[in-house]
Amino acid sequence: MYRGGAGQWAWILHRVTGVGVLLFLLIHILDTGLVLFGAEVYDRVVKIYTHPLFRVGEVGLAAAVLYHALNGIRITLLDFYPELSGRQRELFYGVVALFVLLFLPGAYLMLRPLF
Amino acid sequence: MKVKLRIKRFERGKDREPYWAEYEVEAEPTDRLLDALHAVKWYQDGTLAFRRSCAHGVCGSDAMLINGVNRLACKVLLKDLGQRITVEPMRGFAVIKDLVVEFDRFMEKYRLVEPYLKAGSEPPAKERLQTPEERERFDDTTKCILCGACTTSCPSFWSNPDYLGPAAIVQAHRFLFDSRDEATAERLVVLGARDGVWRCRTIYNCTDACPRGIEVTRAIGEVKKALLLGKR
Amino acid sequence: MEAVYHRYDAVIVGGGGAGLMAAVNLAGQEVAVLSKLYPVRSHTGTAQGGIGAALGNVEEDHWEWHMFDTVKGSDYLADQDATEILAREAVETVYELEHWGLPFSRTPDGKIAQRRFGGHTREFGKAPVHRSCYAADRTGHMILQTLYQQCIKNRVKFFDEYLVLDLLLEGQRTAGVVALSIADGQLHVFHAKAVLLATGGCGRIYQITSNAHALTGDGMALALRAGVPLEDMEFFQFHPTGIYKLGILITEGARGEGGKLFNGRGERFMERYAPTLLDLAPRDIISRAIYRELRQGHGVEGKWYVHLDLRHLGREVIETKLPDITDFVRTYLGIDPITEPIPVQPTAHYAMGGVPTDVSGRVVVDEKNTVLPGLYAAGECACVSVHGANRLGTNSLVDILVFGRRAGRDMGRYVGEAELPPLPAQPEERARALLARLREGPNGDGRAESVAALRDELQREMMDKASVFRTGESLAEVREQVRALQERYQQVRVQDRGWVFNTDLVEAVELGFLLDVAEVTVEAALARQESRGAHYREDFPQRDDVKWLKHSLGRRTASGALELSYKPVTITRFQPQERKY
Repeated sequence: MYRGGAGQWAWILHRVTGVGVLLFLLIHILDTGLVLFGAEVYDRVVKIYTHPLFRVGEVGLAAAVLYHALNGIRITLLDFYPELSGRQRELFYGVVALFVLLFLPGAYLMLRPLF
Repeated sequence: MKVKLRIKRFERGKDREPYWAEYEVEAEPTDRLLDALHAVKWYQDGTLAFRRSCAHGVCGSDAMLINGVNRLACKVLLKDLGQRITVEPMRGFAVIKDLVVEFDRFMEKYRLVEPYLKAGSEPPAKERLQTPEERERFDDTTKCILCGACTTSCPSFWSNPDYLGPAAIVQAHRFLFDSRDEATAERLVVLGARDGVWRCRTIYNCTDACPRGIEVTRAIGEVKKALLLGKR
Repeated sequence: MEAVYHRYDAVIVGGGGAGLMAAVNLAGQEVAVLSKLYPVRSHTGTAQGGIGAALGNVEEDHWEWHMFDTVKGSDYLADQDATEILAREAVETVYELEHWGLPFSRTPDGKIAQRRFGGHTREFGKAPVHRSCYAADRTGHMILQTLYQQCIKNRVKFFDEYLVLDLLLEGQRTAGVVALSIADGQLHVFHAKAVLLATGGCGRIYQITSNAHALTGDGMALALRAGVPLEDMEFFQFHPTGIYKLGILITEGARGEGGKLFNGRGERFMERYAPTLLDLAPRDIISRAIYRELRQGHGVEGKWYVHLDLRHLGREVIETKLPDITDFVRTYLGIDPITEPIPVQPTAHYAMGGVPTDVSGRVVVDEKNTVLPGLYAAGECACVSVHGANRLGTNSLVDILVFGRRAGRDMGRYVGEAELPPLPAQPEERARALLARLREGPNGDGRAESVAALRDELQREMMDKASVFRTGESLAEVREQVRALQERYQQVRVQDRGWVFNTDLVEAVELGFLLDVAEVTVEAALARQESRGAHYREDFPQRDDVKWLKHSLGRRTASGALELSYKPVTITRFQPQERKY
């Protein structure tokens, strides 16, 4: 494993969350498409998603979207203002900080009904 | 102090797989890693192969993977590496022997960006004038010693060897932003092609690896902007 | 393995400034550049301070002043016809570099910036003059890259990582070279009308040197083995400011920007040795001054170094004008030149001597300057002689470019007129035999000498007995030691018996070159019973123009012994004077 710094981790997470969200979207399109097979099939499949495990999964999804969006803003900033490159590490720490700030309350709200 | 070196060995045509060899040397904390490698080669195992020349970070011969990061062996001191050190060849180019990799393809990418001044008009009798500010504009990218540390630290390059790579782009940047160069349009064509700057994912491994402290990712970003919005 | 055969009009050995400049001037011809390194790794790239040319961008300057400074700096041993060419053509050479794109630092009005440098004066010695044209403190790096870029533009053919093992002569004409392709151990014969030796210096004969590991005097040794004499080998320059113990160069440009030298007592000792030029006196003068101070126990904390103080220059100047050496000092010493003085000591730096040539780069083989058709030399490995007994800073970059160009042009003329001589029978035999002996050992009986052990001893003894200060006794001793090492070299066997990228074998070959070069150096130094320029004999401390105003030529005879002869110095404008600064 190449011991890259913050920039490499930012990218790895961006790639993982990006692929993850993409996978989710594909599955979501498929499961919504089940409507074409009638209400009963659709309802049965969607009921699976009420299982608590999927609730946790949704929190994971929210995390992925949130991180990807925040880091996406970081990268966009760096692309349009290359002179900020000297601060790319700080920007990443800012992304992480914002992520924690927004995700923790959000996760709490999403998971509370389970308990 | 005693230092343990774990070096990845391999000889093309002889070994099927690379293997690890361990050596112990007696060294000073202020010695360069290159000094330790020489200690192994000259006094323990003469078969160890690595490139080196100036031994002070200017010629760019000895870029390699040291403790998981690309560095010049002659610029990193043992005291910053600890007493157990892992040394491997750069990634992304075929290994010829031990720490020596195929480098011709790297030089080919360099040639692809036509790294020479294209000034078009006839030169004056004396020097073309250039203000200190104009000179400053491309100062950073003049520092590149073509060591390969940046390109071989880039995940985009690892997954796509046809990517021009940070080094070639840095060299192109040096001409793009040189006020005397007049070939902006044709340079941008090469840089904006499929395997040009758009393969960059803003990962920053290159900037971290550069032994000359060049802001590589920033330079690539400036080229991206030039492609989008025009130069400067 | 059969040797691979190539045919070219001209072959250039060495991919540094001189070799690349010749290649650019030969573009369009059938020329190949062979280099044991990738050309961009060549030592030209480490030159820091600048290239000297009388452009007059910062203050009034004239090439005649440059010529005078160079002649005086050479302690009047330089051939003045060559020095005149150097000073004159320097100006157009610098403009040509700029036209090719070299990113010089600039003055506020956009011209090429110039700074002061050791030994360069206005009005024939009155005061320092701004003559060194620079690109921050990486002028050499920019020159090497710009030249390589021009080679790319001109589609020059390169054979990278080819080590030349042998020079081929047929009758008294050049027929080509034999080279080892380092990557696969294959031998290659390059059949050519003209060969240019541009292999650089030989600083690795000494223990503390600014030179890269690759500088092992290859071209000089190849010429010597082919029966060509080496000129002025006793003159080896020690640069005063190398990083303590490492030998890494701190450019003279640091003193050009105002840096000063202090001993352990805080004295600016150059006031006593060179009252006018002080820390900008020529290098041989300063190196000896430092050694004298150190011998008297005035080293910092009693150790073998003095201080180079840049603190008074301020952060701005240090970081913009001297960024690279700032980096070296921070990296290797862990100190900051902005707040602390730098420990420095003399380091083996430059060979003024080398393969003798005329002003067109053609190799000449005797006292009458008889040309050896087809053989050329340029750069540090050559001796024109422009630097005589001591070289001024910034003049090497001029030398390699001016004479690299002249050699390239004359080669172009020559290959147009000359015929290709036949190759000697079995051209690769000598090279093959050398490699076989190094690989197998002479007896195969297990008892073998190691390359590293012999090289360590050579470097140590040369540093101790044939460096800044020499005596008849020390030189006689080291002469015996080098001869003994030559004997032991015949018993060397490498550890690595492979064919692929065998750097053990490369270093063994290079050791042979080092020994040859060291032998001639010591022999010439022992014979020269005077002190001149960089050659200082404690038993003969005065310069003796009556007996010694001449160039030495050291040749290896058929029996293997070294024989010395001498040839006169060309004096035109400046009669020898006492050399004071």
